[in-house]
Amino acid sequence: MYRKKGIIYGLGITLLVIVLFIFLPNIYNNTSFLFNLMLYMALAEGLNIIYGFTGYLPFGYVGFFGAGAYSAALAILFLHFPPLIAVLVGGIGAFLIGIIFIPLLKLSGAYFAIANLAASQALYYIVANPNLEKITQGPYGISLANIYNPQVSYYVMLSILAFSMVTVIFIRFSDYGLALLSIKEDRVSASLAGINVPRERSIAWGLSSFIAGLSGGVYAWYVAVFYPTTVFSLEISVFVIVFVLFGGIGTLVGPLIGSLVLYSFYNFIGISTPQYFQLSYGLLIIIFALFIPNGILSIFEKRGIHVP
Amino acid sequence: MLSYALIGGIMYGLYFGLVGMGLNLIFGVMRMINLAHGDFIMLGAFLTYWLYYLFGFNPLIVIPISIVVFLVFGFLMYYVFVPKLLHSKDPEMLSFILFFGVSQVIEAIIILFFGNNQISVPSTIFAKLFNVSTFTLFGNTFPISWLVVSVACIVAFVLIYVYFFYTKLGYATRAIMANRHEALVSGIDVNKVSAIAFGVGIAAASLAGVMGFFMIGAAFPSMGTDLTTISFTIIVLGALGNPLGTVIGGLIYGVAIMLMQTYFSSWTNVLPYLLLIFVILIKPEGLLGKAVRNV
Amino acid sequence: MSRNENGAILKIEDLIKKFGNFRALDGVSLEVDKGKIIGLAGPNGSGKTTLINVVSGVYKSNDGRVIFNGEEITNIDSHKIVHKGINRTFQIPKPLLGLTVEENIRVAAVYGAKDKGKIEERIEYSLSTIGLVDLRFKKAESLTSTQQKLLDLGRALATNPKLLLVDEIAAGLTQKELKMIADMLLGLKEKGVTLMVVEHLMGFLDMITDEVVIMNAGKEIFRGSIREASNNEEVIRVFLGG
Repeated sequence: MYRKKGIIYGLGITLLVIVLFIFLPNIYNNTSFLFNLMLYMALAEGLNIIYGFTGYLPFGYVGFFGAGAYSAALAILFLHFPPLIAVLVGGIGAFLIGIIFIPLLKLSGAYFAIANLAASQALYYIVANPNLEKITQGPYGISLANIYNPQVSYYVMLSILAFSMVTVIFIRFSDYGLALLSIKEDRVSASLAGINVPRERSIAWGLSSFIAGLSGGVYAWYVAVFYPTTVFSLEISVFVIVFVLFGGIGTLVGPLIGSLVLYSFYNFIGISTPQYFQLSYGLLIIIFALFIPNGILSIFEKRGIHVP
Repeated sequence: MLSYALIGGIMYGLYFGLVGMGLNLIFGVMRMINLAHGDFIMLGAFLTYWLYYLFGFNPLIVIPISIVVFLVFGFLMYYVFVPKLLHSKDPEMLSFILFFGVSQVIEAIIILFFGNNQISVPSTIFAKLFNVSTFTLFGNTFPISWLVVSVACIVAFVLIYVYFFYTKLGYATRAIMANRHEALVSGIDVNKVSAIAFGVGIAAASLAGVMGFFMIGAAFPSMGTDLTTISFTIIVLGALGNPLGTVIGGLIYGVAIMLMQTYFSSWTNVLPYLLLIFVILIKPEGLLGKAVRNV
Repeated sequence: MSRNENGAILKIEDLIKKFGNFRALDGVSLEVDKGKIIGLAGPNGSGKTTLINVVSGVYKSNDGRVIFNGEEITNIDSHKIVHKGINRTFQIPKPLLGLTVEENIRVAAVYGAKDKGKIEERIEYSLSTIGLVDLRFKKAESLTSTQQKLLDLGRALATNPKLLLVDEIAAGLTQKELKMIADMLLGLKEKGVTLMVVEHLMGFLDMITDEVVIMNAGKEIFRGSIREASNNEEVIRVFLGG
């Protein structure tokens, strides 16, 4: 009963988000802000799958985003794929990188986080290496100017956001989600409940990387010109982690609220005076780690209000 | 070429031993990864820069100042954060996130005061002081500053060794590293001893910052993250939780970097990360370490 | 050997488990007969819990074999062992603390049993067997330690085990709780579950077991009834630490 209700509420919220982002460009003309907001919401839901449910903090999450952007761009440049298919290639590219990184899941806690960070940095230095100029253009960046289409890519981004939300809804209100939460709680107990821990967590990892890769692919399409430093920027990992922590891990709504509040805040003061923004989100992280480790939604949970 | 890379690598390695020292000390005592470690190195560099341009202080004079300032700072910081974290459900993960926040705050404050710029002190500063600019070892010529840094690092290691093995405080620190709970039961003031270790860890990091100009070049506010990752590589190469194992990790790292720079220079950047992933997957407790995983 | 060889559900052969140079299991061999409750006792560090850990796949052994229902299961992964029909409880219970009582049981019922039918029934059966029906929506972290032990047992039961390894469940329980757990374990035996019970409390073992195995230094040193054990010279020497 609880699950059915959750799924219905969750799908309702997804619908609401879709409608909002379809209509918002009519009344608010900063579509690049709206695009980035959707982007961060999708990334936050993607990171939520692996961090919120399974407890692995992917500090190098941006690696998947960058891999997606580059896979999509290379598919367009070398294989002349249509952009829509290229976005999918972005998702698949990141997914494959995710498979390569699966051994990292054997690590736990901070070990995993650091190793994942190192993995994404390694990826960055490989892509940006001048020796690979013929393939990746090295540090000089990618230009996809002739397929630039901010209108269509906006709606593709929206579909990816919807996809990420639906994925989270079905994880949150299913036995699979329960299995992931069990892995997060205690891997030994989870395997003694009969859960194939390596398999289930790899599936979550794959889903999470796929969503980041799709987002990277559509980002490449939307901006059309980018550099390795933009799509492998550690700042992206950091933002997404903080957004998810702020909103509340393991929920559908938490990552959305976190992205909405903090990304708007970033847009408000972060672009003009980034250091004040950095200072305030640094302080925010400290406060949350010390006092509200489960995010603001946990305050409602404590009062008995269940949020999907 | 090879002998240059090896000798240079050893001097480099001594420096990197110092870079990783503080992170490993804090990990050993608190079982926490200080993700702001690299930012304290950066702070040490900025303090050096500031004192040099304001008062013309030589970095050698900055060393004791830096040690005192950051020892006190680390000591106080311990009491603000760590006891509360240790009582939480998942101290390892929460501390990781918290220190990440600390790192952001430090970086932002430095940018607010100094701007988002690269800073450096003249590399000839030691040459002027000692009236020689280079020295020669087995037919290879190195800048004199490398020798100064190497000597300073060795002195620092000896002092840490003495603190660890020849003082009552070091004895208590080692007891906490072996078993925090038993140390508490046996009447050691665990918080105070840990706070001092925390301070020593932060001070060691700042010292690496003071010396950094002469080994890794200019400093800038966002240099911390890379340094933290490199430090982590070094302590994993050495022995996680054993501060003196860091020296070995640093030496391996220094020689590897020098060899890379000599023979495959364009891929040097990737090396620390691949090395880290490789070692952490094969032997997460560190190449020379005993099992401390899942603590 | 007077026991019926065909009746063994679990056979352990020359099992060795080393931690560094220490041999926690030093070539132990033993058999557990189907449908019985076998007690496993011995001084601290004699290898009882290690044996359970190896059989349930939590530790990998260095040598030797574990055979369950005629099939070798040595060193396979825990979840596969669970699917074969073995489960266990922990000396210090390890429920999934952030999940509710029902969720703890549900996840085991869904993932733990080969037979995917009757999940809801199995959840209700486990909850009522351990007597935590009223607490089903409580988080596991809010339970008392006795309730957590019961939940640990419930998690095991939800996977439909044929062989249940119980690790020191009686420690710290009141006399009334002891009686309740003893009845619960005997009830499981009635239903055809085989049990191996590691225990320090001889009185508790006496209430439920058909036979006891005494271990020392990673080996079996005695097998028989408790009465025989208390007259056995080697057993007495081991327990008195002589």
